[in-house]
Amino acid sequence: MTRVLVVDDDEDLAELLTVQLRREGFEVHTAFSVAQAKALAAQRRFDALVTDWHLADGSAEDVARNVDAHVRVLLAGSSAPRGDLFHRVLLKPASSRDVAEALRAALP
Amino acid sequence: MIDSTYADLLARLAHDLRSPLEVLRGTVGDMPSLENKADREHATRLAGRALNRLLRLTERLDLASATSTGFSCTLVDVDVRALAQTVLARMQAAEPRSSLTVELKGNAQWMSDPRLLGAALSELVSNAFKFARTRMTIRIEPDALIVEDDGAGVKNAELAELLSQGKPGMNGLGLGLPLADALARRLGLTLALSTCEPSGTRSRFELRR
Repeated sequence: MTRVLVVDDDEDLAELLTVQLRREGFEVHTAFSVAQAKALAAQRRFDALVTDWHLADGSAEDVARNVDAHVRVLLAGSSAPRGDLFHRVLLKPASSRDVAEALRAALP
Repeated sequence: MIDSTYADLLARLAHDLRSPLEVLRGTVGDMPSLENKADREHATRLAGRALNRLLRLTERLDLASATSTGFSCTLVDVDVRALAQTVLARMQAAEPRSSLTVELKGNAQWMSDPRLLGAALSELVSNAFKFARTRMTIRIEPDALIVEDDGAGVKNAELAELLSQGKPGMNGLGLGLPLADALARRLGLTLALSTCEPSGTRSRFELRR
């Protein structure tokens, strides 16, 4: 099963996306901060990362640099940053179906 | 000056509205397809929390509007510790963070408007709840009310910007601090922000002498 890490400092949004992606058939772990994401990444490897841009203790770039994942998807609230850290950038609000499709399209 | 403050507060509403609306949209959209009772109950809980956040935002919008149109203060004896306990209880019910250690220290009696002071304090406590890693503290001194967290903190250069012409959504900060600042000024208080060592943010309401 594809293992996904969802990172969002809005706990309700993170929880919603987590349960929705589980229903889509993914194994999902959740972090609410860069620090939590780092801690989870130290324990296990993830196939994919889905992260919000603004986090209370840093940004999605901090997460992407510290989480080793085949696929990295950024959820951006407005104009998305340039760069090669993310394979896909989805504009919020993105439905779980959009996120799931982006993951399936990008995963090997 | 007041008009620009009001305009700034309204601009920040977009950020504060987005998350609960996204949660509502997601949970309501999911409902018809949820066959499992536990999934339906979970979605209902999430939708309820989102509705509470929107209701709280409505209260804050009323206060933000009043910073432009003017509102009256009713000064009475306020037990600041009891007020802080009420604010904390509301926050813990609305945005539970079981892993967070919350401390309340000291006591004071002020002449103030309890509704407005409580609303201003709620904004600081809400930010501390969101950004604290493990601990937040409310310290009450005879002439100051201080909220501290051990979060990542904000760079000194950005602190002043948060109260004046801050960037909506910067680090997840939205309406809260400018509203707390406007309320504090109406109540004859000053709001000062500083960084904590080794990390975190300190927000301090101080009685003007």
